[in-house]
Formats: sequence, C-alpha cells, structure tokens
Amino acid sequence: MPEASRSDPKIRCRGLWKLFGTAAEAACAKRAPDTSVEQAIDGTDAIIGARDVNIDIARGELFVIMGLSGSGKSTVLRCIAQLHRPSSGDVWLDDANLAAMPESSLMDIRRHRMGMVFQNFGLVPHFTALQNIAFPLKVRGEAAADCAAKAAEMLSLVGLDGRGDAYPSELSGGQQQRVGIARSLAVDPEVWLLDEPFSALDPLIRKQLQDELLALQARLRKTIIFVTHDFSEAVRLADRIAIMRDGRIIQQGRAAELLMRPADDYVSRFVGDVSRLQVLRLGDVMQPATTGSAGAPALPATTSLEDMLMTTGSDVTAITVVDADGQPVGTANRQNILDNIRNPQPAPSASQQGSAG
Amino acid sequence: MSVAVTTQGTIIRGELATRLAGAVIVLLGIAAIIMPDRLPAIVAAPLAGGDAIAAAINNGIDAFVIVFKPALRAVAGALDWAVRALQSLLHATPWPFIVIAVTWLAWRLQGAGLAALCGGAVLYMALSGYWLKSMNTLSMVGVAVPLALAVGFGLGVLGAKSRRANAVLQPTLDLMQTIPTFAYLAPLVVLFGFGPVPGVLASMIYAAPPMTRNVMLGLRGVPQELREVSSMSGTTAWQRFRFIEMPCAKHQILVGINQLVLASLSMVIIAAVIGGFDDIGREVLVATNKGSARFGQALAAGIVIVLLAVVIDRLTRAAATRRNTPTAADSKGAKVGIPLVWHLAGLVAVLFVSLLYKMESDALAVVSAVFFRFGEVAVNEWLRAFIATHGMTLDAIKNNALVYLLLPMRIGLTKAVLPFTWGVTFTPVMQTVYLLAICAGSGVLAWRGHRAAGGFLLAAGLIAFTGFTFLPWWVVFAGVTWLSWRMVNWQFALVAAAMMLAITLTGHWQDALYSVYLCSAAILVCMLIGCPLGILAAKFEIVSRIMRPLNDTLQSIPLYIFLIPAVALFQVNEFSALVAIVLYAIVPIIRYTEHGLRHVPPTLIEAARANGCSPLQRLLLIELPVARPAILLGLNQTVLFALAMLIIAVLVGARGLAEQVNIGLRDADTGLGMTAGLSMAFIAIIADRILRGWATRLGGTDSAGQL
Repeated sequence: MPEASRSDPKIRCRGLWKLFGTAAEAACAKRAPDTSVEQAIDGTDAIIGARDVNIDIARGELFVIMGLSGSGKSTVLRCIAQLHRPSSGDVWLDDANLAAMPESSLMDIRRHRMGMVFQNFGLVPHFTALQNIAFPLKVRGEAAADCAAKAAEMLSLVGLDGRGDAYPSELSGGQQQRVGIARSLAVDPEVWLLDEPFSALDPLIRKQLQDELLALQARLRKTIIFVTHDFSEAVRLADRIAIMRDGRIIQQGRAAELLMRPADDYVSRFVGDVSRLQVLRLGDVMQPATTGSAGAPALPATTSLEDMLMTTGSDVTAITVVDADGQPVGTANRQNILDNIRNPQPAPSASQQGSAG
Repeated sequence: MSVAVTTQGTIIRGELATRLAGAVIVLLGIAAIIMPDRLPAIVAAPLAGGDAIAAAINNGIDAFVIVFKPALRAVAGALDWAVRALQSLLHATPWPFIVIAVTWLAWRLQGAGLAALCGGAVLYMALSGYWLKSMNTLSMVGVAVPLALAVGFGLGVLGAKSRRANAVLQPTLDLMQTIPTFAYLAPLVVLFGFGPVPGVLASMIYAAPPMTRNVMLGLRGVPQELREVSSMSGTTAWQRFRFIEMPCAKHQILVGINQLVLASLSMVIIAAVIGGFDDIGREVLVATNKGSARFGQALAAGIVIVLLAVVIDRLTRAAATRRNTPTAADSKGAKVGIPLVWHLAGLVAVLFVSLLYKMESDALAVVSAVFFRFGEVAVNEWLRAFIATHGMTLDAIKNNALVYLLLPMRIGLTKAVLPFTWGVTFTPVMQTVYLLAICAGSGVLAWRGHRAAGGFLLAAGLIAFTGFTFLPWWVVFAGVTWLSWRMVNWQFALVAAAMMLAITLTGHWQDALYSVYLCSAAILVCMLIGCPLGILAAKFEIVSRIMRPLNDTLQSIPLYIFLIPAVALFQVNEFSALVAIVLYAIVPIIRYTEHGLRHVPPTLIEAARANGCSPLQRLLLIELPVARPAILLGLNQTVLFALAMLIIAVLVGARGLAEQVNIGLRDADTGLGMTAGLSMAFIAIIADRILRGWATRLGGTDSAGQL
C-alpha cells in the first residue's frame, strides 16, 4: 500500500482492553491513572477478551485479524464497531475517538460510515432480500423510493438480480451472505467490517466469494477489517495480517513477513501449511542492490516466486528485480530462493508486535 | 452438626454435611414417628398460630378502603360500565350473525375443518338456550383481555429490557401463578363490591402473567446477531423494537395471547362463585351444587363453557401458527379467490339481514332451548338409572379408594387399619414387622447404590405408617429444608424454612398438611395412571393420536368442568375432590412422559438393540432413565396443576387450606383468605423448586417446557 497513507491511518486502536465479568470491569474502570489494567484486574476472575491491542489500519487497506476460536479476534472487531464498549483504550476513526463517544453519535457513525457482515449472515428472517438490504437506509430515514433503488443496485452488485423478493429461508447460504454483503455496503460505508463472513459456507462457495470480495475491493477501495480463523483465507485476501492468541496480538505484518520471520512457534505452525511459492514475492527474497546482474532477466518485485518459476527458463540462475518504474532494486539467485522456500527459520528476536512491513 | 464437620475443609465438606444432616434427621424422624406417645413434646403441632396476622391484613384493607373509597368507586364504576356496554352490544347482536362471523373467521384462519368446529360450537351455544349467559361471560372476558394484554405486554417488555425489573418480576410472576385464584378474589370483593368487576380484575391479574412470560421469552430469544445487525444499521431503540425485536418475538407473543385469553376465560368462570352477574359459570356452579339431580343441566351448560374455551383456543392458536415462515409467494400477494373487501361486505350484509330477522331467530333459539330442557331431563333420568344399576360398583370404587388409599395417607396405617375397615387389627407385632421391613428395604436399596430410591421408600413407608396429618411438624420442617438444600441451594432452603414458618404462624399448619395429603394422593394416582398412558402413547402412534386432542381439550377447559362428572358419580366428598383433581392434573404427566420417551437419542436406542436388549429391557434400562428429567418436569407440572385444582375441588368436598380460602371469600374475611392462599402458594413454590432442581440435577433442561 502507499507509504503516505501509513502515516495517516484510517483506524487506530491504542491500548485496547476488553474484559468480561462485572467485577473485573469495575476494577478496570476504577483503577488509579498510573496503574496498568494488568495490575488492576489482578486477583479478579476476569475473562480477557482483548489484551492491550494496538493496530493501525491504513485507508483502503484490507486488514485481516486471524486467530482460533476464543483468541479474541471477534472481540477486537466488536470493540472497533463499539458493539462491545472497550474496558480501556481508544479506538480512533480518523480523528474521532469512538470509545469515548455517546451511543447517539455512534448511531450516526454506523448509519453513514460503517458496514458489517456477520458470520451467520444476520439476515432478518421476516424481511425479503431487498428489505434486508434497504434496512440500514430505511432506519436512517431515506425515502422509500431511494431505498428501493439503492437496494436494487446493491442486489445486482452482488449478482442476485431477480431474487430480491425471496426471504432468507429461501436462499442458499452463499446467496444469503451475498445479501449480507449488499446490506453492509448499502450505506456506502468508509469502513467495512467482516466477521468470519465465509466460515459458514462450503469450500467452493467460499473461494468464489473470496474472489468476488477481492474484485469488489479493487473497485471500491474500502478500509476493511476481516476476521477469520482460516490462515489460507487470510493469506489470500490480506494486505496485512494480525495473528491473535489469548486476546493478544502476537504478530502483525504482510503474509510474507509472517512466513519468513514468524514471531514464535505458534505462528510458524500456522504458516507451515501455506504454499511459500505463492505467497513470497521476489521483493521478499531479493538481495537489495542498485544494479542488476548482467544478463539476468528483469522481473518486477511483486512477482510471486511461483510465477517467476513458470515464466523463466530452467537455465536461469539469477534475476534482476525491478520496481514499478523498471529501475533495478535488487537481485535474486537460486540460493536466495531456496533458502526462503525451505522451512521457516524461527527467529523470535527478529520480529515483534507492531513490526509493520 | 455441620459445624463439627466444617473443620474437615474441602469441597467434600458440604456433601458430607448434607448426608450427615440427612441421616440424623432420618433417625430422629423414625424415632418420633414410632414413639409418638413417649415424645409428645416434639410431635405436637407448633405454635397454634394466632389470628393476629389475618386480623392485621383485614384492618389494613379496611383502612385502605376508607382512604381510597372515591378512587375505588371510580375504577369499579368504569369497569362496570364497560362490561355492561359490551354486554348490551352482544345481546343486541343477532346470534346468527355471530355464528356466521365466527365460522368465516375460522375458515379464513385455517380452513373448513376449523370452520365447521367453531360454527357448530357457537350454534350449540345459541340453540341450547345459554346464549345470553354465554354473552355475559364473554363481555367480562372482553373487558378483562385488553386490560391483561396491556399490563402483560408492558411488564413483559419491561422485564426483557431491564435487568432490575426482571429481578422483581420473576419471583412476582412465580407467586402470582401459584396463589390460588380464590385468594385474590376475596380482597377484590372487599375493594370493589359484588358484580362483574372483581371477576374482571381477578381475570386480568390471573391472565397477565402468562402473557408477560411469553413476551419476555420472545424478546430474549431474538438472536444476538440480529441485535448486532440492528446496532450496525444504526437503529434507534424504537426502530430496533419495531422492526427487529417485535417481528422476531411475534410467534411467542401470539402463544402468550392464546394462553392469556384462555386464562382469562377460566378465571371469569371461577369468579362466578362471587355471584352478582348472570353468567354461564354461575349456571354451571348452581347446577353442579345440586349434585346428580341436575346433572343434565350442569352438563349442557358445562359443554357451553368447554366449547367457548375450545373455540377461543383454536382460533387464537390458528392465528398464532398461521404464518411462521413467510415465502416469496406471500409477499407477491398471490391471493386466491375473492378479495377481503368482498368478504367484509358480505359479512355486513349478513349483519343487516340477521338484524331484520332478529325476532324470528331469537324465537327459534327459545324453541330449540325447550327441546334442550327435555334432553337435560332425559340425561338426568339416564344418570339416575345408571346410578341405580351401577351404584354398587361406584360405591365400591369410592369406598375402596377411601379405605385403602386416602385414609391411610391421611391418618396413617396405625389408625386406618381397623377390623371394620381392613378386617384386621394392626397389632404392635405387625407394626414392628412393618417398620423393620421398610427400614431394611430402604437400607438394602441405599447400600446397593439406589440412595434416592431408598430414601423415597423410607419416607413413603413412614408417611403411610403415621399419616400426613400426624407427621411431627419438625420432621416436615427438617425434611423439606434438607430437600431444598440438596435439590436447589442453601439460600432456597432458608426461603423454604421461612415459608413453612409463615404457614405455621398464620395458624394454617394443620390445614397445610391436609392439603399436601390430598394433593399427594391425587399425584400418586396421576403417576400410576399417567405414566403408563404416556409410555403407551410413545410406543403406539394410535394411542398418541387419540390422547393428543383429548389432552388439548382437558388442558384448555376451565377447571370447573371437572367437578361435574365427579359430583354426578360420587356426590360431594373427599373422593370426588380426588377425581376432579386427577382429571385435571393428569395431562402433563402423560405429555411429558411421551415427550421424554420420544426424544431418547436414536443412537442410544440403536446401541441398545445392537446389544440385544428386549423391548422391555430397552424401556426399563435405557429409555425410562434417559427420559427421567422430562418425566420429573411433567411431575412438577402435575403437582402445580393439582394444587391449582385443589382450590376448586373444595366445592366438592376438599378441605384444608383450600377450604380456609373459600371461607375467607364467603365471609369476606380477606385476612383469612390471603394467609391461607399464600400458604398454598408457598407449598406450590417449594414443590416446584425442589422438583425442578431435581430434574436439573438429572441433566434435564426446561426445553420440554414448551409442551
């Protein structure tokens, strides 16, 4: 993503904690200014949903939060949406702190700037597909004709023309989630939150919807937070991934970074199953250099290793890596590539939370 | 003694303490029961109870009436006006129009079958000569239902939205649904005088709780994800309620309305005991009190009540189940046939025509009613003939039940077994042998690991030995408190003890024991008949098919009706009361037994068959144990039903607390009625919590509560 936008994130979470249990919440809320949440809840039987989470998400970025069930990934998403009010910490949307906002202002933000897709689709059973899509428009008081027109447009955006009068119970799972997607996009939100949107679907449908999501994102350039428990889904979709365990973010960065420098064994176990040839790009494995190797073919840094192997002949031993303008930025040889597609080298010291790529 | 044990620490401490406490209580109890003469001090009824509390309540109400007289008058006046206005309207409406309108409604809601049933039922009301009385009843229901709807719905929403309101509402609802209906009739009469108003208000109070419960259940059942969808769509609280929560809860709310209307009718009928309004309940009550001589009249009028209940039940239920899952076809308005407007126009035309011929149709009803009177006389004659031929059999049934079941349960084998009843004398030797056998039997059971069964045998054996009404008070106190502790928790054990203390202090202890005795006898009979019926229904589809509509009807008709056959066949006595209670309370145990057996996981049944179980082994070793929690919940319902019916059964010979409540109502002695009524409610609450706790310990859930 463009470097410029990194300095001006769309969403920033700072020191975000979410505790469940009234005693723990009270202890956290009443703590003295100089005590950490950790100290304050010591001794209470708090269930910790999110533990000191710090995330920056750039405008137009597709950010994936990945973790197993109970890791706190949905909790973080809900804290950003303010469906759960954080126990401590801030959630900034541009320059507004959602965590400090009254419910009435949040309502306004949700009506205009946020859309959310739910794991079990969250379709209202007594509404038709079109009524479901129009619902967020209707509650914010748009005229019935505008609602209908916009809903029809959204329906065709997700490829469900002609099914608008069907009730959710008459649609397949994939179709239901398309309606869910259409509804979340109906208000043309800036921030798009997706909570395991494809987990309840068959593998084939899931892949199809992933492709459509990428196509939609290429057109719409929303700021997306996507929650999943499926690492390969995360790799397929994400600009950047955050891996969570026990409410904590263990590592965040581009897929290639997680692959090459997993923060610990937990992360390396996830990345072990992923095809490194598909994920790693020339830019990830090259030796930085200002001049290319003589006689070596030139390829862009964004080329995946797989594509590189498919397009170059077997006699090629070195490659000049060039940037978008064709200027050489480094070189890659057979040894660089082999080093990187072998098993990951655990290097706990090499990366830590916040090591952004 | 639990103090001595606390030193041992760890979790086992509590377990051990409960067991030790149980053992000590059992030993002391046996001692007290076996040697009542030697231990008079610990057997005598405690604290002969003063009238102080009842008197205080009476004084309080009197003072209240004096202060608030104008307000009470105003409320009474308004309600009285509403009932009488509705009454005039219903009287002025020609019955053929109502017959056709109800038929049309049933047809629209469900179809030809329901239309025929409802049309026929309303026609019967018109032609049997009870039309005006039925309309009087309906006009009370018609005023009570909207009131109950408003209150029930409002409280339900409040309870679902506010945790604090819920904390107050839940126990209040429990209490409201367990206080016998007569108990709050008494203060209402004192406050609002005779006539239809106390009945309407009692009906409202009685009918609102089920509505509140269903509204709360429905609103709480809205999926969390839909709430989040609603939040993320930026709904206001009202929009969420209007577009998401209400439609999602709609089905449950309609179920609540069904229960509300039936409860309202039931209570209006019961309120006939206070008189002052010429409704159908009064008719049945008067005829029933005349015994078998006016059985025909009681039957004919009773059928009107049953039909009223059935029509109301089926219509509201049809409305509730009509459209659960909308489909695309519905939304496109694929209506077949004539549009609704024409239907309504047709109804208006029918109204005009029937108004024109009102005189003629009324005359027709009168003529037909004359023939019905002949029919009633014929039924009376038939019953007289029947009793003349089968009187011996009926008496034999009654006397055997009295001598071999009711008497021993009430006063114990020691007093019930006499030469002129059982034909033998219960000698000290026999008594010793009996006691040893009971103790040995329960000891063996407990030793083999069936501790609950052992405890049950011991308790039942001792109760049979000494009789419910002669149980030492502290044995009951200790036993019930201990059970509450074991089955629920120590907090509830304290509550139970306090409740029993309250019963004692208001002077109702002896009456309470009597009520417990009669209910226990009825529940025993219900179990003995109901469980096998439930098993049969689970095993044979045909039995289930026959039982289901029968059970539906038994459960939807007002309690009064059960008195009619009981009195006609057995006159007014304890056994008639037992019969009436059993008729009403047997339904849940049948239903839950069938439900429990039908929901045994199929894999378990396959496993049993694969292991070579015979059908009987499968039933005894697999199905019944797995179904046990469901059966226990059924038993719980049966207990509550029996207690509810007890209060009605007092009209045909039950005594005890129910009789006190009735006296309180008759003499406008609110204090007496309220304390006795609350005592019954306490018994119901204790029994309910213990049985539900037991079912939960066995792994049951309240999922079967939807039956």
